[in-house]
Amino acid sequence: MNNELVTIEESTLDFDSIKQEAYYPKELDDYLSKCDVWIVPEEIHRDGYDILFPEHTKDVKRFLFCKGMKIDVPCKDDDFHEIELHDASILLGSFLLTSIVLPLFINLISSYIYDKVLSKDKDNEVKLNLHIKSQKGKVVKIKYKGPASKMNSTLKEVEKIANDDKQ
Amino acid sequence: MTTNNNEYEKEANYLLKPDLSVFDSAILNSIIKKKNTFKICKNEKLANLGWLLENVYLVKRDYCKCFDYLHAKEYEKAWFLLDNIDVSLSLISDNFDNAEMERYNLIFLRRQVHNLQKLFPYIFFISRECVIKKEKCSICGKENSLRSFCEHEPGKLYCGELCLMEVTDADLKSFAIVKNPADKYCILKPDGIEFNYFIIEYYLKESKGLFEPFDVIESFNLLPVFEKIGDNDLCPCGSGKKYQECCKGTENKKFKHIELVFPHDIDKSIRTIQRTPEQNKSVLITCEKIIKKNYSFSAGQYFNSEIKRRKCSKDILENDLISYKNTLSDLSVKSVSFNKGLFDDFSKINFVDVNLIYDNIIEKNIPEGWSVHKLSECISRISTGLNPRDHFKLGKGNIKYITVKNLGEDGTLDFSSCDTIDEDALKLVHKRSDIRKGDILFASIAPLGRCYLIQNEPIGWDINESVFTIRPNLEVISAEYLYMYLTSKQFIKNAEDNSTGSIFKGIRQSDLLDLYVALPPKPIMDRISLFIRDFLQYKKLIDDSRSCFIDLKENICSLFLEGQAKMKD
Repeated sequence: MNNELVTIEESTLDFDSIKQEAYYPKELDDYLSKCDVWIVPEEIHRDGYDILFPEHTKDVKRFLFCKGMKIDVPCKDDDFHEIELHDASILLGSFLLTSIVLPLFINLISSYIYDKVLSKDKDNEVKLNLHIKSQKGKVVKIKYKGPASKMNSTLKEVEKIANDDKQ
Repeated sequence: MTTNNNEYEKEANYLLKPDLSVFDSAILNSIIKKKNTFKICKNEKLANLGWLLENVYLVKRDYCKCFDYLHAKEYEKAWFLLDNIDVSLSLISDNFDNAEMERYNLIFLRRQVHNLQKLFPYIFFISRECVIKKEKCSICGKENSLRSFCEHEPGKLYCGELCLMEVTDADLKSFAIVKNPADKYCILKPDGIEFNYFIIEYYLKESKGLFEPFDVIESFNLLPVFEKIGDNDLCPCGSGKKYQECCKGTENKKFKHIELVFPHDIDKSIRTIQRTPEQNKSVLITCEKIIKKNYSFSAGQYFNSEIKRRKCSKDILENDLISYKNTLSDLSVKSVSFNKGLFDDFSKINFVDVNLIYDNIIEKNIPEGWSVHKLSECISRISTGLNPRDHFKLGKGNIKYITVKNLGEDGTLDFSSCDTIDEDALKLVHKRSDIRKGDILFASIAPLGRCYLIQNEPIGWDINESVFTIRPNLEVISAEYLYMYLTSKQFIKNAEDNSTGSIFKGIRQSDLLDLYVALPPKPIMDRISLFIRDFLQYKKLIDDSRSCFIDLKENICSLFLEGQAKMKD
């Protein structure tokens, strides 16, 4: 695996810890608990906003949702704001998901990147954080930062390691 | 979706010509007219085909126009057209497959456009940062939110009309100088400076026309001035530091190298080789060799160190370069008048001729109505951050870890050279420091006494053990007054006198708390505080703008040094 593109560390995020956050909409708890993937706010902070999401979060959510993924953002509609950042890097955001749906997620998110970047003869930098909850309950954070063309193969390697660990 | 349709046969055949360079506006008008008719009839397929043909026409026309501009040396106009073409091609590929793109030679055009863009000397751009608060669909007008949205997908065609999200409410957060913005319209072009377009001129001379394919190979090489430098020599970048403490190991010492590859050079070799299967292999090897030998020259030094995202004054700056320049000029004028007002106001406050000496005899020297207190009586809390030791490791995560070195002489925080810590470490550090808006940071060791007033909620950073955080008791003293008092030369001198250590002097918390502070009567303090508050806000604005100018200056200097920019006559 290309270690320059990926960092792996323990995560402090979990479905339960997000539920304790002030922005979590308790009235949607039943619905959100059934989702396999949450897009969570992370690393972007600006004055005047408790939480912010990268530009195109709605687009990513919509794409994955239409492909059959149970995905949502654990916040109220009114609290959801996207920030349009400076550079041409594709900031996909942070995803909290269970290891069971990881293979499907990797395929779908790679497909999204293919449509948006690679099919257009471009190879922008992509930034993506995955918080993967194992069946044992441990959450690992995978950070990918690298060219769009290498994202799929790198994440597949991550998936392989996750599978080896399971065995 | 394909355009094999008799309805547009004449127009489609016209546009199929790969080297189309003469344009007939009647064709465009005919396409638009037919498209509009199909839109009215709600014939989705044919209306969309009309949109495609219209855009193919415009892309091809603009591509040719771009070369007219290049030959006329109107490089900026050519640049903007290339960017427009790139956007249009991207939208076309969102709605039509590669076969259709290939049919109209658009894949070739896209590669040409990307390669042409690489020949321009533009490296730095102004880019905005916005929080999008509300947006609506351009097709149905419905306001889209996280969970409530219409069936139209942004970027897709609906009956000959492109679906876009119209932003109806946004919060402009900042502007920045960046290398790789999402859109490259705002080129940095300060007055009196001219870009050097010699690579484009070279390309135009060597190329056999706008439809000849070419390739650009980019690589990074070592700058000659760095070739024979010893670790202890002065760094050639002019920083005044030793090489090993400055550019060694960084990307600064490299410059971008560009090679242009034209197929017409390769063809000559191919013609001399018999095309047997075995020899085809050698054709490829020969081509590779020729490609490697092809034209090469320096394209000027690229500044590889990331341009820090300096925030500019969000309320004042507009979102293009012209207004950026105008508003900065305006800012300069305002700052002059503000400074004048500042001194006028200061002169009205009647505490001149008073010798504010901060020691035990202070009470004898202060004006009537003023009082003297130990610092411990004026504050509600003093604490520090946490050193890593066994608690956590530096270099992980994205949280900035502020030490005394990051407290600027001019009351700013320098985040650019900070160590970083992760979220877990932040929790540990914050538990001890508990820094908040309104607290004052104070350097407890050399550079002793540097201060920073926290004017916004501290998000994404915390402090180490060498920085004290002082929380004023607002019933006794305002944060602004205390900040100004702590930064005064005489208070710092007093703190130095009470510090310990021979080489690196530092002051203990208990000693600092025993120092005296002179307090004016409340009305005067309120007035001073109000005044300082305005001043600090304005100072932040000017500091941010100044940072932008410094970045700009440094970047432009590098362009000069590498011959990528030259002065106007």
